Amino acid sequence: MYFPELDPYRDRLPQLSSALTQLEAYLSEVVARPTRGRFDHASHDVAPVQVANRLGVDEGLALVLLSYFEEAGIIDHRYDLYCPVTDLVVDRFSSKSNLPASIHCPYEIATEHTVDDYFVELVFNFSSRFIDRHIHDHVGVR
Amino acid sequence: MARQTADQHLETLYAQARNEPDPQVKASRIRMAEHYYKFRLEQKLGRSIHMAGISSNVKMGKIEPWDGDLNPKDLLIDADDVGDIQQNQILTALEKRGICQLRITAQSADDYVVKAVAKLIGPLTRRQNDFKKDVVKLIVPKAAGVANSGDTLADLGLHVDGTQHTETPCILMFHYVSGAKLGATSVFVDTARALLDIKADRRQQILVNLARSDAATFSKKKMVHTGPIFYFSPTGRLVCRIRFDSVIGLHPECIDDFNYLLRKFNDSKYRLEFKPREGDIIIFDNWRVLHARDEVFGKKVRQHWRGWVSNLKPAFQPDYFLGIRPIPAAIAAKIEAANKR
Repeated sequence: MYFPELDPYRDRLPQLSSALTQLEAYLSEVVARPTRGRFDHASHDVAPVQVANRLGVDEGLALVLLSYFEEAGIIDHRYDLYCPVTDLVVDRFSSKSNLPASIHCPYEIATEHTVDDYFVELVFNFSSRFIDRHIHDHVGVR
Repeated sequence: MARQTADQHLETLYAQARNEPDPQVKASRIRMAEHYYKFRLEQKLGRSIHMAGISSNVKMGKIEPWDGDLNPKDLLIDADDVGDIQQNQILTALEKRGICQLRITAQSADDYVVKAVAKLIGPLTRRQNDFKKDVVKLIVPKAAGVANSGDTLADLGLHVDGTQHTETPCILMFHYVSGAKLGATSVFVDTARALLDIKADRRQQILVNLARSDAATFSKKKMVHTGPIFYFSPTGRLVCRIRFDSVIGLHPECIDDFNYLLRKFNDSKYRLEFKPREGDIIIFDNWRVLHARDEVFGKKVRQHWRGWVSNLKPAFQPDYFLGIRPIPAAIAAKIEAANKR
């Protein structure tokens, strides 16, 4: 799948043009993953570390590439907050500014984890605009 | 790949950016690392406000700072027994004044009393300096006792207990078995009160400077600890770890501020002096209140059981604020930052 929204970034950063095309190919694979008849968020999650492994770059560069896709309106990011003790997702936030100062894990008794010790996983997924425009056409309705 | 906190992510991304040869991409790496992982300062400040009861005014800090004019009778909790009513009275007094005096009618001064009262408040530490035999220790001053400890008859300067431990005990309990005929007057100083009386700019300077991680080294009884004088406890309370004797060694850049506090805390205006009666239990916030004792005279020495409470029970920690307060949120953030330096 070709993403014309990325053309300005290819022009601006020719040294990253090849990596952007590689990521474009990877995201096209993710879009085409089989689903259960509707858009399945879990199967379309993209983590920076996955991108880094696939493209053979480090996580920092993967993050830069993903940020261009986000600026172009193709993907959105969210934060999954993990309890450092149970390693379970406790909450999800779409904005960094909404991240709480502390979290309570429902699977622990009276324990609070602050911003200094809870784990944060940055995850990208396709934006609602992109889903409306592209993915619904792929998936169809059974 | 192991999960990381936001700060750890940021460190990793900064390290990767340092190796980037292309200046334009390097700038993008740093910008994006911070865009996604650098949390707003307000978040950490919010934590301080939430966890430490820190606020911009005394009322929100749920504290009643006091000085030497406080009538010791105001500390007294008279009780026929010890139950939920006394538990609430003790916790409320610890939160407001950082000290109370529990007097249980017709109760002998046995070691189990401190243990029983501690059950209402929080767990006793298993160790007091080098003493490990029990969770309470009978302190009997002797002429040959170790200097700068409760074991000596000599004058004991203002200090907090447990300065050589990684974590100082949150609350101290002294249960008086017998009193001296002469001397052995107990002295307590509310650091929150004395600090509040220092001009705001100077106070901030002192708190932040003495919060550096190598501010002081405490050496006693083969135990050594180096750390900040002001720092946040694991439960987010502002703690003062200080003593004015030869146990403490200071970083050269901390000496001026330390000497300022030495004069301030020893000012007679702040010294609350009284002699507890036999059977009294003095319970106080070791993170906020300094204690000292005059020289013991005569053959009848003062003896007391001592218990160290490591922290409040977890259920009480969100509801009862301890430690020094109020501290404006901006200063709290600077103290936290200095603690990591």
